[in-house]
Amino acid sequence: MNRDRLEQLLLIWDEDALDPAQRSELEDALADPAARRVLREHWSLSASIGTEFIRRAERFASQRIQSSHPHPQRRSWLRAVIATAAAAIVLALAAGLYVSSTPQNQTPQIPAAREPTALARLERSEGQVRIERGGQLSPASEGSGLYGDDVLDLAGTGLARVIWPDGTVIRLHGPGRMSLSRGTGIQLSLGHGRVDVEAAHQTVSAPLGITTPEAMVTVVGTRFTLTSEGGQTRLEVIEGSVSFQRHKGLQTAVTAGEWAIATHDQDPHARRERSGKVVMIGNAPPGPPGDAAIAAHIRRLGYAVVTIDADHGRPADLTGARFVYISNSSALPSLRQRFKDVRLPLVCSEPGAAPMYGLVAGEGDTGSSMAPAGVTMQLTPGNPLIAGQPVELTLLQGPARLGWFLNAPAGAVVASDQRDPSLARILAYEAGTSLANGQPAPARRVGLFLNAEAGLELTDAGWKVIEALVIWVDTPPAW
Amino acid sequence: MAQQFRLMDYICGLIRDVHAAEDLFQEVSLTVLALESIPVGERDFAPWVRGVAKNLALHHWRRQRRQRVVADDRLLALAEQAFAESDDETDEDFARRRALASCLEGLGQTGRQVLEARYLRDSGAEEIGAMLGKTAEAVRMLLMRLRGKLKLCIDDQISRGGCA
Repeated sequence: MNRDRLEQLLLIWDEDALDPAQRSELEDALADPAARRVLREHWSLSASIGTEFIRRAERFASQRIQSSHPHPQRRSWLRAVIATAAAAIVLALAAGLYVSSTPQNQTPQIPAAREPTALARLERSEGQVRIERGGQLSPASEGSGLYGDDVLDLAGTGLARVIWPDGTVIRLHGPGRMSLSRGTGIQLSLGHGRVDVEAAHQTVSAPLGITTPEAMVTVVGTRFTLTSEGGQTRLEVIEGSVSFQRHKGLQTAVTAGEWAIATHDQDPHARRERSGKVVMIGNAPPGPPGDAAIAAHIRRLGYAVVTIDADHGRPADLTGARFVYISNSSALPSLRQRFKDVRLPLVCSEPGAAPMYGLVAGEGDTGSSMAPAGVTMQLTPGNPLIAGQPVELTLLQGPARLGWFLNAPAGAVVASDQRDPSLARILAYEAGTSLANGQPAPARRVGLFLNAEAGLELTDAGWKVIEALVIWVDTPPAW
Repeated sequence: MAQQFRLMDYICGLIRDVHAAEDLFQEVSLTVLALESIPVGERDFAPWVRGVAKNLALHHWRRQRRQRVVADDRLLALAEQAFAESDDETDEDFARRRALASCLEGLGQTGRQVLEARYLRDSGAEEIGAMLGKTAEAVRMLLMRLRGKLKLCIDDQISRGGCA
C-alpha cells in the first residue's frame, strides 16, 4: 500500500468513520512495520498540531486580557515622556534629594515593572493589600497588573483576588504573602497564608505550580485550598486531582474530598474524612457472621452501617445513605420486589441480583462456585480504582463460595480469576456510563465476588481491595 | 521528555480530542504517582503506562458513548505495537514540535483554519467541507496535503538544525 492511501485511511480512522472494508484494509496494511511507523508519525503530528493550536489560543486570550487592561509600560510616546520624568524623580530619590521633602502622608507609588506585559491582574482587594516590587512596598489598587517577582503582601484580614488571562482565579487571604514567578505556566510561591485556587485548564507542559516553604503542588485544572502556616502546608482538594510533594520528598496524588499535610520532614499522605450512613441489605439481623465481618470493615472506614432485612425493608430506608451494599444473604425475590430501582451508588455481592442492576446482561452471566484456599485473583493492570494494589493476590485463606460474572464489557472488569480470566470477580461502572444492559448507570455500581460466608475467609490483601472499592464507590466522579 | 511527548501522542491518537487528551494525560500521571510501587521493570514501563492510558481511555469512550472506537480492538493493538516498536528510539520530538510552530506560519490562512478546525475543535471532514463548500473526501485530501507540507518543512528545519 502506498503512503498516501495509508494516510487517507488513518485520516478516516481519526474520525471513527472507517467502513468494514477500510478497517480490514488498514489492519492488513499495519501488519507491515513501515506502515506502523507511519501510524506513529501520523498520531504524533496530529497531537503536535492540536497542542500548538491550544498554545496559540491561550496566547491570544492572554493578549486580549492585556489589551483590555493596559499597563503603564504599554504606553504611547507621550507616556514615554512622562516615564522619563518619573525616572528622573526616582534618580533624585536615590540621591537622597527627595526624602527630606516627602510629606509623611503621601502614598508611595508602585514602581514601573520591567516587563512589557502583566502576568495577572489584581481584580479585587479588601483591607490592607500591598505590592512589593523592586524591594519597594506600595498599596495595591484594583485593576493593577502583576508581574514576575511581584509580591502580594496582605495584613490582617485583607483579601486579594487575582485573575490570570486563562481564567485561573486565586484568592489570597491575609495575613499572607505570595510572589509571582516568571516561567512556564503559572508559578507562585506562598510564603505564608491561605490561598483558594480555581485553576483553569492548564497545558500539560506548563502546569500551575505553587511552592510553599515545606512543599509544592502541581495541577492542570482543579479547585483546592492551600494553607501554609506554623511549619506545615495543608492541601484540601475540592474538585479534580492535585500532585502534592514535599521538597525533596515523595509525590502523592490528592483527589476531590481528600486532604493532606506536608511538613519539612514528613511526606504528605492523602486522607479522606468519611462519614455517613451505609445501608447493608441482607438477612434479618444479626445475619450471617460473614456479613458482620463485611460491615465491620466498612465501619472501620468511618461509616455507620445500618443493616436491613430485604424481606421487610423499604426503599425509604435508603434515604440519606452514602451507598448501598447488597449482601448475598438477602432474599432475591424480596430484592426484586422492593429494591429494584436503586439510584444510589451500589455494591452488589448477590450474583442473582446482578442482571437486575445491569452489572451483567443475562441471568446466565453470573453465579457463584466453591473456590479452594489460596485461590488467586488478577487485577486489571493500571486500573485506577485499585491503584497501589498488587497485580495478583491470594483471596482466600480457607475454602469458600465466590461470585463470578461473565461477558461483562472489558472496560468494566476490575479483577478476574487467575486461572480462568473469563470469570470476572469485580466489575465497576462509572456513573452515567452504559451498564451491561445498555442503560446508563444512575451512580457508581460495583459487582463483587464477596459471598457472605467468604467474609470469614478473606485474606488481608482481599480486604484491602474491597476497601479501595468502597472508597471509590463513595467518591464523586472526577470527570 | 521524549517519553512524555510519545505518551501524549498515544493518548491523543486514542481519543482524538486534544483537550480531553491533556486531561487524560494528567489523569494517567496522577494514577501512576498514586501507586506505592510500579508493578513492572524499567524496560516494561512505557508499555505499562500506555496500558494505564488505554484503560482510562476506555472509561472516556464509555462516557462519550464512542462504541465504534472501542470496537477497533485489532487496530488499537496494532497502534500499541507501533509505539512499542519505537520505545527504544531516541527521537527529536521536542525539536519537531518547536519546528512545527514556525512551519504552521508557512501555510496559508485557509490551511491553518482547516487544521485548527480539525485538530483543535475536533470538527470532522464533512463539517469542515460544509463550511468550505467541499466534499468530505476533498477535505481529507486537503488535510493530507497540509500535513505533508508540514512534515517536509519540519524535516527540513530539523536537518538544518534550525530548531534544536
